[in-house]
This record gives sequence, C-alpha cells and structure tokens, in this order.
Amino acid sequence: MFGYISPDAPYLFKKDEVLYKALYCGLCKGIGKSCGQTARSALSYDIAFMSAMIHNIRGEDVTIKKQRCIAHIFRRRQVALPDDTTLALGCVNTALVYFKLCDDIRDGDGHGIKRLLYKKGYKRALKRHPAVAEIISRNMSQQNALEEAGCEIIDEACEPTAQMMRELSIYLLGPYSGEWTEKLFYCLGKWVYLADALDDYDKDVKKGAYNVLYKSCREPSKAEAVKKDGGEMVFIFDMLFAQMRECIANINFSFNHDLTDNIILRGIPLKTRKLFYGESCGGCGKDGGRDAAKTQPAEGVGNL
Amino acid sequence: MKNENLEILGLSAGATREEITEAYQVLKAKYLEERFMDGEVGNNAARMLTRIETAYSELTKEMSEDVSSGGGDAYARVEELIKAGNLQDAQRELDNFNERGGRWHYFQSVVFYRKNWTNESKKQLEIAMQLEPDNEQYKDAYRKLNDRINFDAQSGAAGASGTQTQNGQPRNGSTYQGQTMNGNTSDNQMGGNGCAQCLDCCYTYLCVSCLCDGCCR
Repeated sequence: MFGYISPDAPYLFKKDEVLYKALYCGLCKGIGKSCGQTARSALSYDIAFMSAMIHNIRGEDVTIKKQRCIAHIFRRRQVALPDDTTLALGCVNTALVYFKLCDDIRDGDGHGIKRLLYKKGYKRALKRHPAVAEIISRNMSQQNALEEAGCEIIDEACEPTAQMMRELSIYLLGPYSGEWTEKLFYCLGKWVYLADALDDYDKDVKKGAYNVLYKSCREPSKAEAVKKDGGEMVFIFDMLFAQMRECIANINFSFNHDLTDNIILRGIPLKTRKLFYGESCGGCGKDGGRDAAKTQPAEGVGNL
Repeated sequence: MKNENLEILGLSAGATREEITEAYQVLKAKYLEERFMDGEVGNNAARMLTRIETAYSELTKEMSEDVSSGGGDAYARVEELIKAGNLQDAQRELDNFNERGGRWHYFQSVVFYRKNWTNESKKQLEIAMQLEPDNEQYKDAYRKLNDRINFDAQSGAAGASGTQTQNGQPRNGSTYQGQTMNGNTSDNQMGGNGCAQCLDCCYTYLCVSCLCDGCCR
C-alpha cells in the first residue's frame, strides 16, 4: 500500500470526511497500542480505507470520540476508538511497511535506518498476527521472483500483490468474507500494483529497474507509452473499475457505504487518470478524457 | 480411428499419438532399407512404404480433428474443471495440448477470465476469433467481455434507483456514479478543470491551518 487509494475530495460528504479522518486517527492510536509508538508514523490513508470497508462488511460500528493526541496536542480530534479490527489493521500496516522497506533495501534504495525504526513494531505485529506476516512475506517473495524473472505479462505480474490483498481480506473479514469481497480486494491489490508501476514508469526506465508496464510496451517514457499503447492500459484499468463496481454492488454492507463508494467509484479512477494523463488534466478528466477518446475511439464495446 | 490403419503400423486400438509416431518411424526406417533388395522383399517394402505413409497421415489427421472439433474428451475435462472452479488443474490440462486451435484459445481465455486476468483473456479470445472467424460463440464471448466494462453504467450500482433488483443483480445502490478512464461525460461541472486548482487551494489552506493549529487554540 503506497498511498494511492484516496477519495475524490470535492465529492466527499462532510460526514464521510469526518468518519475517514476519525478512522485514520483511530488506526494511529491503535498502532500505538499494538505495535508501539514509532510504528505510528508509518500509517497511510490506504489503511483507513480498508478500515472503513472491513468494519462496514463485518457490521462493527465504531465509536467516535474527541481526544487529544501526540500530533495534535491542543485541538482535540475526532477519533474512532480502536477495536480488535483496528488493531489487526494496524499490524497489517506495520508489516506491509516493514516488508516494503526490506524490498527497497534489496533494490538498492536503502532505508536501513528507517527499517530499523519499524523493526520492533514489526516484531510486535508478528507476535499478534503471525498469519498476516506470513501472507505478506510469502506473496512479496513471489512478487520478487516474478520481477527477477522479468515477467512481461501485465496480468501475471500483478498476481502476487493482488493475491496478498485477497488473502488479507479473507483473514480480516473471517466469516464475512465471500466471493465478492475476495474479488474486490484482489482488484484493489492489482490496481495498487499497477498504479505504482504507472507512477514509477519514468523513474524505473531511467534506473533500468523492473517495471511491468515498460516490459509490456517498451516505450522510453510514460507519455509515449500512453500515446502509443494506451488502449491496452485503458482496457485494463477500465476493466478493473468495472469489476470493482460489480463487487461493491454485490457485497453485503451493514451500514451506508458512501465513503468507500466515493473512493472506489470516483477516487480510484480519478487517481488513475491523474497518473495516466498527468496531474493538470486529471482533475475533471476532461482534457485527458478527450485525448483518450481520440487515441482509441473504438476500444471496448462493439469492436467487431 | 480406423483399426486397419493401426494394424498396418502393428498397433491395436487405443494407441496414443506417441506410439503411432514411434511405430511409423521404426517401420519407415526398416522399409527404406529393404526397398532396394532384390526380388519380392524389395517389392513388398516399396508397397508397404506407401501403405504406412497413407495410414500415418490418415491417423494424424483424424487425431487432430478429434482435438480441434471438440469431440475429444480433453476439452470436456477442461470444461468440467473450470465449472468446478479448479483453475489450476484446468490450466495443467490445457498446457498438455499439442494442437492449439481456436477452441483451445477459447478455453484458455475462460480460465484467464476466471482468474481475473481480463487482459490476457481478451488476447486469447482475439486469437481464437482470428483462427476461426466464423465461430459465433467466440464473437459472443468477446462482445460480453467488452460489455463488462460498462457494468453499472446501465444496470448496476449507479443511477438513482439504488434499490434491490432480482436475479442476483446488484443489491447496493450508490450515491456516486462509476467513472472510467475517459472521465464522466455526463457530469459537467461548471468551471470545468478549475476544481483541480480549487483542490490545490484547499490543500494549501489545510497546510496553513495545520501550521496554525498549534497556536490558534
């Protein structure tokens, strides 16, 4: 999870914004409890999204209270008091960050000190939820193996990360897990991986590092890749959005799901467009949208 | 499979492709040597050579037809495995095929689709359609696959209804409309792209607010 999952802020209801921030604060406090204080700094809003999703599907309500915290000493913040699910998610976050840092060190982008910072937190997470650490480490090593082999098939390269999210959802949702939740988290994992690949495209090409999108289209820069090979990527992303839409339409939610809907239906496509067409035209998708319509007019329906 | 042809190669019914090829090669080598011998032996060898040639070509033709026309049990097995959700075994079965016609690519596409590998699934269907341009089943599958992109634009979570529909159709209505890579054309906001800048403003405000947070209260 690399901070790609975010809401479409102008369209986010005030109530959902409050909930979103409260969940984030709750997670932060929860991590303090479960993995120690230093691990708190590793938190990202991605996990707050997962928290909203998992609480909702499990039917566990959160209690929001005004509390002070170390980062906001003077003004009290709305905090969703951490429960077991929050604590488990905190462990997921710590373990994810720890393995990500291990990965970076292996790739030569050393963050040795940073990893040391989170090592203790990771050990506590491992003790609390050994299954989570096992899922992450197993899938991450598979991901590394695929990348070392230089996998050129986009769908295949995303598989381990997608599987990791799927397995994490099964673990976290327990009896509430089902075909649609599994598929949703699979798609989310796939999207996160692809969003990261899209974001790092130019950087990876420059460094000669592995990037599946580059491997598949072989264009020297992202702009050219989008121009020449955009159709395929647009298909992959549009298909992912459609699959996620289908999933959330079929999942049994216990509460109203405006927050997660905003993120999945608007936030994720918006973020993708920004990464794809550049920041300036991503906002409303207008210029980018028109460009895309020009470059691949008949992609999709009735292309026979 | 014609038993006669098998007998010529010295095999019985139920012989595998490998056995047939092996027997054919052994016999061919034998008769090729014998055909220049004197008398009846040479004549017989020349006759046998033609016979094994025709027998072998007929047998291989029959076998490949068996596989690609769907008469083969192998495809039925793959189909069963897919239906049972056992994608790993289905993939293993598919990997064992030597002849890879349109039907093979179709089944590969189905396996990929079930694995959520939509892009690969699409590619396999395209190959299948290329190999068998007249096959309606593949065209239909391709159309359906592409139509999935529009999910909820017509029926699903989007729209005002938001109520339960029948036949396993979506249960949850949603306040938001789904978006695609092309942006949402029906959602024309006044000021257009301005909202991107407006957002920047919001973030700046947020940062300033955070900075002031400590002292303002």
